[in-house]
Amino acid sequence: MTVRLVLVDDHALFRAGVRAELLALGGRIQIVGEAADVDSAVAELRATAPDVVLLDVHLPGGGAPQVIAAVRDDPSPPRFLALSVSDSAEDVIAVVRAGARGYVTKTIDAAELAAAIERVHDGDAVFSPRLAGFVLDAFSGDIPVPSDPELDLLTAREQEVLRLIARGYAYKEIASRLHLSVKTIESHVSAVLRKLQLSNRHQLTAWANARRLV
Amino acid sequence: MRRVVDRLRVQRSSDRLLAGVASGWAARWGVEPTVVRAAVGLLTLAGGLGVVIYVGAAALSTDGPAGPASPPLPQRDRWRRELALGFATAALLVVCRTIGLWPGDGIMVPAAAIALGISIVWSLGGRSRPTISGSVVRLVRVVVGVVLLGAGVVSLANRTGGLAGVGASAGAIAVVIGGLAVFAAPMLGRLLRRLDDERAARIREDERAMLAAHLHDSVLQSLVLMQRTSDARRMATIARRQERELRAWLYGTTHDGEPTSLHAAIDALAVAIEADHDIRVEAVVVGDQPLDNAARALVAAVREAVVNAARHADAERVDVFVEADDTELMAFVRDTGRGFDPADVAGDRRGISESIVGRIQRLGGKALLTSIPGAGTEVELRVPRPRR
Repeated sequence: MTVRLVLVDDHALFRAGVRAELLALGGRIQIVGEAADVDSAVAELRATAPDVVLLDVHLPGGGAPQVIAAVRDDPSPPRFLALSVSDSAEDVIAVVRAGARGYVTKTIDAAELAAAIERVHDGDAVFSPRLAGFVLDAFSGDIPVPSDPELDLLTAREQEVLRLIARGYAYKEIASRLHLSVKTIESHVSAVLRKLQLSNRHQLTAWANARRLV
Repeated sequence: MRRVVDRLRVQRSSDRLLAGVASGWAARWGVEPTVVRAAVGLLTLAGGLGVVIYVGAAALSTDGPAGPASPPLPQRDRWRRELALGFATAALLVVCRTIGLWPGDGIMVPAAAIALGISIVWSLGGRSRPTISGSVVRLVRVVVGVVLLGAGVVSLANRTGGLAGVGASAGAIAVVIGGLAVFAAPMLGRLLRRLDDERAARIREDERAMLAAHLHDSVLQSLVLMQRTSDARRMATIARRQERELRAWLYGTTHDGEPTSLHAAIDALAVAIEADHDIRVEAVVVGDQPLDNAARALVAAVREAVVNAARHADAERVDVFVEADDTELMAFVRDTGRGFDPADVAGDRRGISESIVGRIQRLGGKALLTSIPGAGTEVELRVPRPRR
């Protein structure tokens, strides 16, 4: 099945590079549109109704969270995968909390990027080593009374999976290391994503507040 | 005359009791300093002749570190020289006695016995390898030395008469203890000296290992990089950066922009290695700690692991994950390159053994290397943090 993709990045050269690399992988991913800033991205998404949007964290005219917020209430909104060079934890987590299903860095290679796009398309979460590190950071340290332990704490297994992602292991390698199925790893990661998006942990809230997102 | 003065002119040794003259002579003649001291002491009793010689030599002496030390003589040669010194002293004493510089046989004979005893015990030397025949000779000499010493002390004590009456038992005990002390002193001294030598050698070895690890990571790496490039400008860049780095290390100056936290140092390391090598460094740091000695060593070991991956793994990417809290620093360096069998690494390759494992172990940490040929390598480092 082909994934219909829109590329949103303010560097034309980078968009051209990603387009060429994904095309070289052969029809798995079809690029149906491109945009370079918040307004044109929202217009492009409404015009083409893609499955997945590859979204740069920093955009002229706002940022990735604005794009996600603008189309969130549309009928059948696309899924978002954030992509950037090397951003602050706050920015990345803000994008994920706004609704992106994962975050990868621009240093990712073409095959991994295609796999990540397909994973997001299937409704799973995609954690790059960097995002795993950010999440471990955000959820580390003691909070005296978590307002919702279900959401404010990571389980030991989730932490283990995140550490392995941060160490550079692919889902498949993590599965065989922990003697689990890839599906189980995916569900752990999705659970972490859900906590990241819904948790009221003060760090996350503080970051979001600072960015005027809540 | 001039030759005699020259022979007596000494470089005062740093192994000194008074002015270092006796040990200076000892070093020059290749004999035990204590033997010289005993001779000088004995001559001092002979109308102060020893003091005159000593002060004269001290005035003629040159100060400062001993010149190139003469190689230690074989035990037999030393023994002969000490014997010669003994005869020379005896000859001087005979002259003194003839010209009247003499406090009397009653003092001088026991004193000579004591000096001879001390000389014999001390001149046993510690350098010769113990052999069975050597032990027998040694034992005989110790016995002879101690007997001479004891006889001298006892006859001196009897002569002064201080041992009569009440003081007799106390004096006897003092004599025995004194004799034992003189007998044990050389061995105790040798033991202490050997412990000291070992400690110094250990410190030197540690320093040398640290220096070697640093040079391996910095200068050697730069030289390898320069060999691999044919671009003159790039070569100059590498050389300049290495020069700056080495200078900073040698003179302890750190220039501005030096990272002060573990997180910043790991990030800087990733950038620097990406600039030098054709590899992507994905660095993830969770938690942060100030850059103390433990953190610095961890960063250095991580750098070495990443450089190894860049040079040998043939991988596109190397993942660095560092997690730090108050009790422990952890680092993982992983590539999915060609991997290797750790048993195949030649012993003279310092990279892994010294720059990674040794560095971490010196801090009480653990370093674990897992590599599967064809599937990649992972280095795991853990360093406990001293409680602040």
